[in-house]
Amino acid sequence: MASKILRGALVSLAVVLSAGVGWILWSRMAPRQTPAGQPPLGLIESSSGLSTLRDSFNAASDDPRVIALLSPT
Amino acid sequence: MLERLPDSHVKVFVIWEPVILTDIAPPTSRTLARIPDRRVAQYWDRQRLLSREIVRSALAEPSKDAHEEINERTIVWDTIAVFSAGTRWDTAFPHADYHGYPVADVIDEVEGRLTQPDTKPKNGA
Repeated sequence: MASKILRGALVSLAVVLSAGVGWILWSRMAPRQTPAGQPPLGLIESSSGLSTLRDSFNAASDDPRVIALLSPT
Repeated sequence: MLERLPDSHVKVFVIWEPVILTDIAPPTSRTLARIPDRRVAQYWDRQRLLSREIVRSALAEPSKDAHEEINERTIVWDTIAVFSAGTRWDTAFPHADYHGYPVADVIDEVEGRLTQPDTKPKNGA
């Protein structure tokens, strides 16, 4: 009886861990394609990446601009 | 909002950044597709460098937004800012003509700001 409960718990744990690992892998390997007409997803990974954003911001200075900071999930 | 302003020359920069535990990777195609407008450029800021830059600039000029308490550990998130034509980002992050949060609550205000004359493009379009 106890062994059945333990086995059930271990199976449940394995399922949850597998789902978690699967979700992490999917998150890291899922495609990241921007919609048609937009430039590719830019990466801000250093001060140079921030400079690229700044240059793009200034390049559009003839127009009003909006900056939005969001979280993916 | 952008679909209601099809003729606006606005340029939108969407910066995705990790804030909560589930933000372990850049936004997926499905997430990026939430904002399909061609006037948008999207970025992944894994180290929240833009947030740090905004905080740094705000702390350097505390009198600009005295009603908001920020410190070096503040994370600028779920925030939207409007900059009129002519505004430039040189050494310090520029002061926005309007900023608000959360985005869902202030999006109508942003749309209203973009239709105001002083945010129209310099070429008069």
